[in-house]
Amino acid sequence: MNEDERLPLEQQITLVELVDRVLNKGVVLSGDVVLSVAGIDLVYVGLRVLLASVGTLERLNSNPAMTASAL
Amino acid sequence: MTLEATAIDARTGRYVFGVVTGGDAEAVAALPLEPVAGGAGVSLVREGPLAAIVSPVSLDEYDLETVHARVADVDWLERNVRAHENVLEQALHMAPVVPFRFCTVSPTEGDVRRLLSEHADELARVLERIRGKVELGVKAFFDRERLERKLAQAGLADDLSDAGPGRAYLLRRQRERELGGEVERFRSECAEQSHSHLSELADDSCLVALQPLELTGRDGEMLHNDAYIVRRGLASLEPAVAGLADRYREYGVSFELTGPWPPHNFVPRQLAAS
Repeated sequence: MNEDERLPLEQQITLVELVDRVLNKGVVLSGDVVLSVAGIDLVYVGLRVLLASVGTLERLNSNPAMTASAL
Repeated sequence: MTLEATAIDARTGRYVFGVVTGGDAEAVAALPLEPVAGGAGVSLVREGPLAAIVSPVSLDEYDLETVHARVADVDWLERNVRAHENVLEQALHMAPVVPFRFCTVSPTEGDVRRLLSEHADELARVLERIRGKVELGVKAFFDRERLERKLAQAGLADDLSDAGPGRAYLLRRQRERELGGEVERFRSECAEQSHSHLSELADDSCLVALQPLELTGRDGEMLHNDAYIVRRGLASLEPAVAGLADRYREYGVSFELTGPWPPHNFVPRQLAAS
């Protein structure tokens, strides 16, 4: 991801708040009344996308403990 | 608009945002709700005393693999996360709403009805419990350098008041070693006292995982991250959070109050069968 695609800081802060709630909380249904999409750890993917969008993914890759504590 | 009146092919599922009571369905259906990406409008599916807020979406667009790939696209992620939240927040203005996890998709409208009837008792109980309440978030951040300076000053002033120069040097070295532990002790005490103070003003509270520095985009490290469910919106905690900010400012701690949110943190992850 290049510089131009990065989110402005304030927008990123709000988005982290949202992703943390919307992808990580709420009711998760199981069984055949739903597809299994929501049950998997989308928040892991989502937060990594946001990290990449502020250009810190490389730094975090060298520090796995920090990535884990975000989840 | 009823979904039955719309031509929907077999590959169309229902994205489920959340659940309200049947009594609130009409008011929520009248809101100008915007669907998630690829969604064909937002409508209510009623079953018994409950109603689900749904958007018809292509099952090909919302299957596991496609969603996994799309979530990695920051524009798609942002658009859909905001769409999901906006629907819930608008509904929240009208009625209690049980938020569902992002990208909960039922294959058919019949499946939506079935999930409402299968979990009718618990959904009704949760809706009753959250009626008239909203979720607030409280985070605290601290400036490590400032906190260390403050703690170092406080300790040294006491210790050095009656020490000679040699002893003062040794005491200073000892203080440096102790400082790391004091920072940690301060962090947990500040978090614990903030939480217990704010909990008294809320109906319920829960601890949320701390976010790392890199993710928050702040100057300071996160010290405290809690969610509260309250009856009077932001005003329920605003004065108390301002009070905590005053009390801890000299230690380099700042507080942040967010919300009102739908009660994402105060609904069960799994629903019991009725």
